[in-house]
Amino acid sequence: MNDPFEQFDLPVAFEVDRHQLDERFRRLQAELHPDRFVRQGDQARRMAAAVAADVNEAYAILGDDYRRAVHLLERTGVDFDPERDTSQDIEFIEAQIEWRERLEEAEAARDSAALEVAGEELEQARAEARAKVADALKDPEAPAADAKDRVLELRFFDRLLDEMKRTRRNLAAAE
Amino acid sequence: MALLQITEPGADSAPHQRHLAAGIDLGTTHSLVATVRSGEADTLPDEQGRHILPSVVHYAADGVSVGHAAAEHAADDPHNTIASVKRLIGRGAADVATLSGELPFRLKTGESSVPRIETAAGDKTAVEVSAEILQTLRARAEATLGDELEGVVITVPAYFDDAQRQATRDAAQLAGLNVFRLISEPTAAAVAYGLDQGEESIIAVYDLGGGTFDISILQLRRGVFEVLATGGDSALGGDDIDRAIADWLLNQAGMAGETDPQRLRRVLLAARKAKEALTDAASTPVEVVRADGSTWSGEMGRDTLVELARPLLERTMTACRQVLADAGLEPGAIDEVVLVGGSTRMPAVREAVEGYFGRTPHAGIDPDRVVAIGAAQQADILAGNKPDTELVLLDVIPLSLGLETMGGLVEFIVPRNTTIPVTRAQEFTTFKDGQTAMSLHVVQGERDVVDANRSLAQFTLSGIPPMVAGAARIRVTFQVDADGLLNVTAREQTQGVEAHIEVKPSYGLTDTEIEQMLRDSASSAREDMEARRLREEQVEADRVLEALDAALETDGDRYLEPEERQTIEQAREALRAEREKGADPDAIETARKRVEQASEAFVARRMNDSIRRALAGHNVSEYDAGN
Repeated sequence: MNDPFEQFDLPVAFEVDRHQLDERFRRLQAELHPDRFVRQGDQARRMAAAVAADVNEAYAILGDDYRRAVHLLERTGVDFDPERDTSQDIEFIEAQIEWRERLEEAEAARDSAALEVAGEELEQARAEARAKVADALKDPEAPAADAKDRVLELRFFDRLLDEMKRTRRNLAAAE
Repeated sequence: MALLQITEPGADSAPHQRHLAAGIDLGTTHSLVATVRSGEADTLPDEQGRHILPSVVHYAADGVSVGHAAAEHAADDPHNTIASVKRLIGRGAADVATLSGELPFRLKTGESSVPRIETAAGDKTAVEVSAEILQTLRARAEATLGDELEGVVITVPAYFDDAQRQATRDAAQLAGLNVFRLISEPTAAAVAYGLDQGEESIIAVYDLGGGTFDISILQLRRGVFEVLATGGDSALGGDDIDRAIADWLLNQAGMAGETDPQRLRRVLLAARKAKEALTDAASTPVEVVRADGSTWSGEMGRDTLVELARPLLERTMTACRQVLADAGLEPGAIDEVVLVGGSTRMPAVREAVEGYFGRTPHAGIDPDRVVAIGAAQQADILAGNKPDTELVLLDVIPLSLGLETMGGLVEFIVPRNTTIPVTRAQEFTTFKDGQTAMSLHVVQGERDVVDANRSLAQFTLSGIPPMVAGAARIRVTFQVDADGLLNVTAREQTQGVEAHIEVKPSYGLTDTEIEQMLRDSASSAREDMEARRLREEQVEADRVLEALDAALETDGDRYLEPEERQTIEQAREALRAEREKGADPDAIETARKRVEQASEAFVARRMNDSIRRALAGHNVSEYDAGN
């Protein structure tokens, strides 16, 4: 697979222009989607499917803060292992535990209001984590030494936000 | 005045020539076929002017009938009259066992993973029954249009999993149809109303058919339709309202407890008529014949109907609430509401839907036909009849795909709502020293535990060189095509041992079984097998030749060295010669493969150029916009 930035002809950077990214995605799919090749035989269709899959994947990476950050770090030779990597920062590990406890308590109490407040604060914390990642990756060719830790922290907030959305949905559905 | 025509690559070389294509709504209770003619999409009627084809197939020892003719046998020959086969398609024996109590026909689930229905004409799979319906619609379309269809778009429910989609495709293949694409029913309905032209919106599609209720929440964003949530009730529909009216009529006529099937059927018919009359009228006369031959006649008002329908409508609203909660949305977040299914003609249904979502639903298109119409519009685009349109319908995978890992847990490889086509790979390793084989279990669903999900396939990668635990690197690749169909490959990276499956086995038919069915099927008895194969190869050869000619004309000089071009042209002439000879399907296939091989680099170069053009084109328009 080609480099996603190259595929979308975008500058290699953590911050991407969302509008430009979306617009290019649409154009690329309009040209390459296998639907455009249904009348040109199986071979063309298969090749288009492979290229369109590549474009979809590149778009998914460029459109997601965490995946884009991982990609930028991997470009400079940093290894990621999603199964084993965890943040080494003791303070952050403690913060993680506190967040989890807080959400578990609210969930156990079926307290939608508390979950909502926690959700807003969590969004705020995520935005701060994102800003730190952006800072660590300011020079994408030479990321800060602690960039990987910052990226793992961002992942923690993304996952926790996902879990919380699920919890809130389940609570709403049960009401 | 003759103008010199300059065609875009990929555009039609003969723009005046229309390509015949159709959209097919293959429904649980009824099916329709639609095409675009003179710019208008509409469904096609049969010779008696009926647009709706009941999804019923009757197998007699001396022949097969489909539709209205088949439905007439429901009472006198229930075992051989197959209705609602969509409930069985792509399902395994275990799923079907839970349904069989409700089904009038006899199922055999013994020796094969695919259940078979016992009929007077032999054992039939759901794929074969569906193929009969598709075949009938195909014949109707081809008789109306006067020539063979180049391809079709078939709709499937948004929640159909890989096995169900694959089985639908298999049925189309049996019916001799070239499937351009499968699209989801709610997406097709949204397309029919032109909602795909919008930028960003959240769309609720409320589909109340005869026997099923589906509610789907779609999100259209940047040209991609995502299914946020689907729900409904597979045993709830307009038929239940008919039954409620019939009960009321029986009570009014003092016939409660009536058991004579023929009289009950007549009452049910009267109930349906009254329901339909009350769509426009505030009140309608009703009549029921009692056992003693006397007649009860009375008047039924719309308020009575509303009262009778209320409990059923309430159940659909409960499903709407549930599905919105699943999507994490409030009713006010819905931008557009689309009505599908004949039962949504009832004013009471419209009012209930409007009341709940707080928006006037789209209802301008006949709700029985809207799905087929949307599919026909998409088929028209895919056939190349609208070369100017840039619109591509992007779909997502409806349910997550994953592999079983240690302890019966699922490792998700492709999460739900990923835009397709998509290719994702993940590495696994061995957990025992000297392990030489690894068995892979592919599942689909959202639960962390394997058993709670749908099992799609199991296969084994063997011949892994013995190594210490954790040293082998097995890369498993999931490829999902534009129809949502999955292919899985596993490869041991250090030695290159490979295993590959097209995901069909668990509940699907194997290629051999399909081939056998093609041989056995009534349609191919009429049409000789070899002749059919030849015809298919000729059509594919024409497709390849036409595309290649257009490509060479526009881009040949740009991308090909003279020798390369010569090689391609030689292969092309060989194919053209075989195609003209029209004698040997194998020879045509071989010649076509040679052309494809010779032109592979050319196709790739053109595709790369498409990418560059797409990006460059944008740069220009950005500049124009002053960015």
